[in-house]
Formats: sequence, C-alpha cells, structure tokens
Amino acid sequence: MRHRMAVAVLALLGLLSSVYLLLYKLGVVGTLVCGGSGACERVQESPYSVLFGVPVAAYGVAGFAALLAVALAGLGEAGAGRAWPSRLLAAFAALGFCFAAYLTYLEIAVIHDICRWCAFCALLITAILVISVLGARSFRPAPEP
Amino acid sequence: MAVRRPMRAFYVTLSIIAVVGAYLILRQSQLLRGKQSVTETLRAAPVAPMGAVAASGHVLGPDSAPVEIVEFADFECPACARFAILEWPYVQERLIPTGRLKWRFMDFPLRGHTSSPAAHLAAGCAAEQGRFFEMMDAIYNRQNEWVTERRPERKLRDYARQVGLDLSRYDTCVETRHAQPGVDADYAEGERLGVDETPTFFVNGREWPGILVYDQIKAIVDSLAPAGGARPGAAGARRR
Repeated sequence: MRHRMAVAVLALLGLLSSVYLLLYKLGVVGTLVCGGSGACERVQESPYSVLFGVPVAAYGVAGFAALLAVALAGLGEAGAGRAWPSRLLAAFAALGFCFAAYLTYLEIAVIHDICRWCAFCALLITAILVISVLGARSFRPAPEP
Repeated sequence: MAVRRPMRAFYVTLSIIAVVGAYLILRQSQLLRGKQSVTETLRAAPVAPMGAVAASGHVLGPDSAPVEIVEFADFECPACARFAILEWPYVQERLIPTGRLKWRFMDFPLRGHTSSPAAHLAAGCAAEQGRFFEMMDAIYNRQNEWVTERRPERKLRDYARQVGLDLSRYDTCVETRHAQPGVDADYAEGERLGVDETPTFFVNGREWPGILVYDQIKAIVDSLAPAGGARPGAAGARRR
C-alpha cells in the first residue's frame, strides 16, 4: 500500500507540473518560471513540443492523471489487497518512462536546451517506475478475513 | 466504511498538495490576477509612472484619447498571441474608433526567445510602411508556423507580402536592420519600468496586474472616459 501512496503523491506532482506546462502552451501562463534562462520556453516553442497535433504537455497530463487514478483505485475498496493496480501502475510507468526518455533525448541531442519542468517530470516518472516495479514484485495478496 | 487513520492522513496530505499546487498555478497563470475588479485596480496607487514612454511604441488611436493602454508584448509568447487573437480584434473594431482609447504596442522580445527578434524587426519594417498592426496580426495568427522555423525570416517575408508591403523596401529595411533601434528603445523602456513578463499592460501610466480581456478594457474605458465625452479622432497606426 505504501508503494501506491508514494506513486499517488509523485503522480500528483507530475500532474500539476504538466498542467502548468500545458497552460503555458495554451497561452494562459504568460512566462514560465524557469530560472530566467528561457530554456523552458525554447523547448516549449520547439517543433517537438507538439505530437500528432496535441501539445506534449497534454500527454503528460493524461499519463500522470491515469497513474494517479490507478494508484488511488489501488488504495480504495476496488483495488486494495489485489495485484492488478500494482501491475497496471508498472505498465503505465514503463510507457511513461519510455516517452520521457525520448523527450529528454530530444532536449539534449536535438533542441540543445533542458526545460527544468520537463526534467522534473522525467525524474518523477523514473521514480514512479522504480517504486511501482518494486511494488509489483513485492506484492502479497491480503489474507482472507 | 470509516477511513483508517493512516489513510486519512494520506488523503489529507494529497489534498493539501493538490490545493497548494493548483493555487500556485492559478497565481502564475494570471487567471486570478485577471479577475481583479476594474474599479478596485484603478483606485490602486500607480506602480510605475510612464514618464518618457511617449517617445516610442506603435500607436493606434487619437492622441486626444483620454485613455491610453500600453502593451509590452513578445511575438513568440503564447499568452500575447492569445490576447492578440481573442481580445485585440474587438478593441480595434469597437473601442479605438470611439476616440476614447489610444493603444500603444511596445516591442519586448524576451531574452531566450530565439525567433522573436526577427519577428519584431519584421513588424518594425512593416511599421515603416504604415502596416504594423496588419503585420502584427499575421505574425500572431501564425505563431505556431514561424516560431518553429530554424530561420523564420522566409515565413515573415511571406506575411509581409500578404499584408501588401512593398517587398523591396521591406527587404532593404530587414537587411539594414533599419527598424531595430525602435525595437531596442521599446525594450529599454520596458526594462526601465520593470517589465519582466509578457504581456504587461499599463493603463494611463499604471501597471495593470495580469492580463486584460476585452470586457475589462471596455470597463476601463467606460470608467475613465464615459461615452459622449470624446470625439472620434484620427486613428491611423504610427510609430513614435
């Protein structure tokens, strides 16, 4: 259960960060808080900030929201003591990690700028992957009452 | 079913993170600042006197207008584009012709925006042919198009052609960077006033906290210059 709690907290932080980046992309946030370097905005204005016509930040919002929902379901009556939330979290986190790794590669090798918020999200999904895999491996079904 | 104590503590912690995070985002996103009441804000003390700002910027509206709104904006900034696309057309069509409002656009290409300087120079060259605001519309409406170009100059030249500029004069202006001093003067004025984000607005010399929308601008104009008190005047675009 502690694994799922930790995933829920990290996923919420990722969700908030992704919402912030998405609002910037939609023109609701004037200037990103990014240490004054402008790197976040250069990354957000690059051609790679949109995938299939949808801002990349929107994928982050959807992914972290899904992780948060599964983690909370795994803590509630529907999932407590069952294995499927742990497996689903590990699967979602693996997908998210691959996506984040691709985006980080683009930042380093193609855009040549690191967006701190994107790096923060990449760290979060890495931590979520580690925790959720450990959670899935160490899961023990709840004893029958 | 009662929630166990450790779980209750967890949910409380999660809720606090969610509320604090949402508040920080809203505060940064200008959604809260933009909701401030017009009369309340107009009563507040001036944040920064405009002083010598009259010497720069792109102006639309008569000099005799009792209300002047100054906008510091960056062509690469999504929030500026949002304002230009959603709010500006109504301001231009409904308020400026009344003679009660003068609008001053100040170039403020943020440091770190790599495509923005070329766009501000292009708009400055359009201003030399009296088409600044037409060029501004073209640049903002296609922000997603030119901002992702490695060299946006070609796209900007296409817009110059589409808004009817004399391209040989435009090319000469861009090559010699003839309009650059005007852009630099606007930027320096913004720095002097402490502008550090875009868009930033000043209403009759008073910094407005957050972004403006058309309804607020109309309320400001109605409050400071009730209809009937001003005569429609010459509203042609000009560079100061």
